[in-house]
Amino acid sequence: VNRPLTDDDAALLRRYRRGDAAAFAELYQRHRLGLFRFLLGLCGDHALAEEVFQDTWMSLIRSQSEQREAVQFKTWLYQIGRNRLIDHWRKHGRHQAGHDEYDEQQHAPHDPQPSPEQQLTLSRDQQRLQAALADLPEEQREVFLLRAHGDLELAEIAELTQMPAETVKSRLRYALQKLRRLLADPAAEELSV
Amino acid sequence: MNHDQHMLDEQERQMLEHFRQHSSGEPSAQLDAQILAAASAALRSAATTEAKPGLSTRLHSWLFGAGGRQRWSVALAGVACLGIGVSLTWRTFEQTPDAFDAVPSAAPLAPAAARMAPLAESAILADEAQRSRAVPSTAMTQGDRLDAAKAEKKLSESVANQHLAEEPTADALREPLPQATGSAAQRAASKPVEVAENLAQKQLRTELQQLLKLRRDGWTDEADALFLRLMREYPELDIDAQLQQLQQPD
Repeated sequence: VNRPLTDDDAALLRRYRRGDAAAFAELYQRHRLGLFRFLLGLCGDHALAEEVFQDTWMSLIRSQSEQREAVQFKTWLYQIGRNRLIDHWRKHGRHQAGHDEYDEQQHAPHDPQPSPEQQLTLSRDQQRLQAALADLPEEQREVFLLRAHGDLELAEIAELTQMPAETVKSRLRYALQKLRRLLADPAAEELSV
Repeated sequence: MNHDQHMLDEQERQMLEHFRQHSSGEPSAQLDAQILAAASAALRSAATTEAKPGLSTRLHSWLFGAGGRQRWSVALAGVACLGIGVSLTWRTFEQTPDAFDAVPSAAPLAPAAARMAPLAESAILADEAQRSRAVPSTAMTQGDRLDAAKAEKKLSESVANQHLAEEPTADALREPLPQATGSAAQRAASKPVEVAENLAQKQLRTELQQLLKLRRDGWTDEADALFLRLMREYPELDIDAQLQQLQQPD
């Protein structure tokens, strides 16, 4: 459930721009974990995630502009982080296992619906979670991470990624189906590894 | 259909919740401290820059802020006033030497006048002498001329007698006497010349004092101009020595 903190975030940012350091601390505390896990989930590299995370907050600190009315602070923040990471990849290249373009239409019919029993046996092993996440196509992973860690609505994700809302919705559905399958079925995980 | 959608939403919620709960990874405490310190430092630096906005910043905000139109007119009026003030000052500055500190316009003529004065005086005297000589020659009659001739003769005789009577002393006095009479005549003739020279000296002294004053007051250009003019007009004069002499306290 999305917290109705949009105005609060904007108010905190305004207070910070007017000289209230405590407002920034509160804003940072509110979004540090979600943003970091989103970046870590995207790049899979803790050091790189920290670098981009710091760069994102520093650019927010250096920017004198206040939040635009039409954009939520959180969307703005995650967009900065995402852009910084893409810039880094453009500059230094990507050091991760590449995924071929994921044909959603081809894979979707084969994703079986997990049974309630399978849901109960979802692995809580963090390595399995990371592996399952890494196994997702990049576009699906990004949408899933924005939804899971950023707690963004589909419309916000669509705005951030500049994709149609329907595309975002289908990507999220396929991502959830695949994750469910990978985490519920150890054999599927072995196949993907 | 509704049931399926509800199932999907529930599954999505469970999956998201599961990921949120069991995801690991968080920024280090050091990184947190760095970012928070950077935020505080940015606030401090912003406060200092806001406390001391630059002149250009203030001028910019003053001109282009709220009520900019009135401020523009005030600024333009200020510039116009400044221009008028500078113009008036410049004109006054140009007129000032003529009005107060400049050497009087008659001054350049003074040395020439001084040089001409003796000549003029002598010319006047010569005229008067000629006139005095001419008047008797024209006014006197033949009889008068005879009387005059007699009188002259008498005078010459008396002088001759005097010479004879004072022969011994006359020889002794013969030499100085013409000199004495000559110097007296010279003195009489040079008296107007001396007056004119005194006037010229006085004028020169005034100009030298003027030069000293200009130098003291820092009007170096005017002082140099006057110095050059004095050098031209009195090429034989040691102006520096004269100035030193003037500067010495009596």
